[in-house]
Amino acid sequence: MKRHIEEADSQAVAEMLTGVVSRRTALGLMAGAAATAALAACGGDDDTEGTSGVSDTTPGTDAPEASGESDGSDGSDSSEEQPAAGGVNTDAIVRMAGDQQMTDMDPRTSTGQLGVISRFNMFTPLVAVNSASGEVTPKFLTELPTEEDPQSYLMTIAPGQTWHDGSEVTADDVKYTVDWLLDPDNGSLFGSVVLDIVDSIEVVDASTFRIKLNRVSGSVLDRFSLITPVPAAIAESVGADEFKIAPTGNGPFKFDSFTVDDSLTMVRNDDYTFGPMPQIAQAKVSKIVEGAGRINALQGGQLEADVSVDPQLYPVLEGSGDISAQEWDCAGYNGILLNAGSGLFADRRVRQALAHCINRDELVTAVWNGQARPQVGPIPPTNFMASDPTPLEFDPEKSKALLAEAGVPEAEFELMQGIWSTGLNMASVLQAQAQAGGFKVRVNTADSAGQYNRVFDGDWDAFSMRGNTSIIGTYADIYCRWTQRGIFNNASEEDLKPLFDALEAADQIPAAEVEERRAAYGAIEQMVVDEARMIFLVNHGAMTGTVNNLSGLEMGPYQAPLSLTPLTMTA
Amino acid sequence: MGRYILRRLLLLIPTLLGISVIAFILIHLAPGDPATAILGMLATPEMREQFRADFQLNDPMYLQYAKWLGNVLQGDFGRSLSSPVAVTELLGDQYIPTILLTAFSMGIAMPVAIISGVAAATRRGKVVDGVTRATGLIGLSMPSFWLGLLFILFFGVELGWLPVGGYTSPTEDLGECIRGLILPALTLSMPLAAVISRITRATVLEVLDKDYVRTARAMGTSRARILSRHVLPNAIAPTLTTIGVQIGYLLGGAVLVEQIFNIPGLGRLLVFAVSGRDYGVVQGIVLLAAVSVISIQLIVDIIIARIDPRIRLK
Repeated sequence: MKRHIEEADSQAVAEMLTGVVSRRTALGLMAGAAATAALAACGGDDDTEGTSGVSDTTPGTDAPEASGESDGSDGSDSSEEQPAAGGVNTDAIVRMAGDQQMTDMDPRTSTGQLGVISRFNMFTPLVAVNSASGEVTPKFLTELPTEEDPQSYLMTIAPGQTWHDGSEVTADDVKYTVDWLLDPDNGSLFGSVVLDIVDSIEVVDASTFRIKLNRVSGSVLDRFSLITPVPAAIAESVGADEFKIAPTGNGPFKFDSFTVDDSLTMVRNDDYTFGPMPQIAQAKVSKIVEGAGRINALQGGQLEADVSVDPQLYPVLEGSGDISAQEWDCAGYNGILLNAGSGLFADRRVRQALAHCINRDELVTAVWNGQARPQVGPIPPTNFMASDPTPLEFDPEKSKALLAEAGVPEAEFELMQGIWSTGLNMASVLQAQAQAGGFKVRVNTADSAGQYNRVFDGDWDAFSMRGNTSIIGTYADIYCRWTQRGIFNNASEEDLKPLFDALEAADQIPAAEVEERRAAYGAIEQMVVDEARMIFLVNHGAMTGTVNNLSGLEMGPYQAPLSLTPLTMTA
Repeated sequence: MGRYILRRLLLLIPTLLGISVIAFILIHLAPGDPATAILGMLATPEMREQFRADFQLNDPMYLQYAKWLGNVLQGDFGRSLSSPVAVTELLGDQYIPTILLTAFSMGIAMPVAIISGVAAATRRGKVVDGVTRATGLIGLSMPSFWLGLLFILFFGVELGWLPVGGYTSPTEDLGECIRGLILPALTLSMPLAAVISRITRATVLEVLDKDYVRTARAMGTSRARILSRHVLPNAIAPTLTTIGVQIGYLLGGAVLVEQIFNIPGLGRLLVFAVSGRDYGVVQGIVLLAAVSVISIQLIVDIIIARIDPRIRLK
């Protein structure tokens, strides 16, 4: 029947093209359309079954595999039986969707959601950091790096790791990766920002290597967590561009296929012996920009997980019986970046006046439907190093007094706002709050590209921005340093010197001295709050929606799924 | 006919050149440079500068255009700024879903519109005419994004009959490909069908008033024969011209529909490319769309010329 429709349509088109437009042609086309509609109706049952929550099986597999409770170590068992109700379906395909760009899977360069998924599933970072507890665990290594002296660390590769092409993982691969990261020509943010403390790497033997630092850093292990080794021979032979879209790693999932900016399919690595075996056969990650589109696909049985639920739509999922809604701790923030170098906000009192206008609790309820929490300083409140800085309290009258003191009782500024759903609500609430404190606010809504340009050119007043610094590290130094850079806030080096001097000193405190570090970063957070070059507003969680028979999804501070190995689909 | 086609093909050259210049200038005049748009706020000044150097974005605009044009003439559309692939590869991948979507939409719109237009004209003032005109008005006035969302909610989410979005390649699964295209194609075809139906109705009515039709009726020729032999061949030319013109609108409409239904086609790619200031991709899409529209119009003109000898003579 499908073939018939195709032939009918193609014949009709061919006839049209040769000029024989007749009633027969028209009728043929009508028949084609009717047949297509019938086909759609026939297919309806299949799709309705899909909504019952049973995931698709691997293409080419006759029946879903029944393995009952998986032991998590061998996913290659191939029983022919249907999985029992509630049993684990190890042939399941889990389809997830997010809203971020999908162009780069290379863990050396990718700073997006896709990079995180790649790093934790197709590759293995040297160590992993739990940003909530501060605990560091070895991943690629046998144990945590051995500190030979404060500027030299010896590491050994954990045995049992092979690249997906079967070749051995060696210390040469790690050296190649680190050297590549440090090469400025490769344009890696990890290399230039996170690993700027690394002086060199040397291979000791096939499985041992040493990293030497150019300065002492208490956040050294956090920084090492951003080193994700790649196979030297393959990466070198295919080239950087190809490796971004078809990488070879050593993780529990293997790369299968990729459509640029659309979808990635990973399959279980059945030869994986280094850790627990994934309990699903495939994971497909797609990009669906529209939040409503992802929810529709979830409700329509085309997805098992939406990993970027729009906060405005979160209540829709909460009321849905077939779908579970979850909120995860995350480092995402919203803030107002101010031009502290020129114009109205060059005066610290005016910046502080605006900070006094901010009612964070109102933002949490009015903009985020309660799915966020106030954030005062640069370190996310969910991070183990977060202090509790004293905010410039919500007091519109104090704002007016500060404006009068600064000699600008009728302060007027332009608030640049990017186009994203919560942002537009955010801008109108901020506008009302600032106006109550004596400011006149013009909201300029435009796409981010033009606005970033104005920030970097210094041609702006205030920029309502969102961000997630954790994508390049989850340690206190990066949170405080990154958002306070002069290229952001236009402040002079001289103005920023006290802050950056304090950051240098704090980073020298050994990691083991947790309380001393916490006190140092607490003081730094307070400096950031008082200077108000960026006014932090809210910290928001990562919201997900999953079908009820999917479990094990875990989101990290990066707003991206971490390891997919624990994912389990039950029948 | 050969000279006519040759002349039309030669006209393609200045037309495409003009379109490419306009597209090039407009995208370069948009505020925001690609380095900032693509690398975002995370990038260091050094990274942004290196990016500009890598893609020769610091060159004068005329030089960038000349290089781009030179490469295009050799079949090379350059490299995408935002993804590590060639523009040609991106366009190749994403052209197919768009072509399928527009063809499918046309496949739905044409028969429905022509049949309803003819029926409305031959039964002027009757119920069929009223229904056709009312439906046409709805089709014209209903925004496609709204219609698409309604289709998704009703057929996709509520009834679960059809996929709510996405795209399956026909080589992978033809049935799933067709099912996936039904809702977006219906969305896209509604306004198109409305326009074609109204044109068809008007031209058929005009032909029905001609002397030769009246003569045929007087001679006792059957209604079906009058329609098929005398009315339709004479009324089809304006309808086909409209269809040719509407192809451009169809490609424009695909931008929105592909976004709503998450179809990885040229429209969706164009939206990402514009917001990311991916110059090469924008220029490639504009050029490809222009070639497609002009080619289809040429084909339609040839068909009309073959159907209607008066046009050939002119």
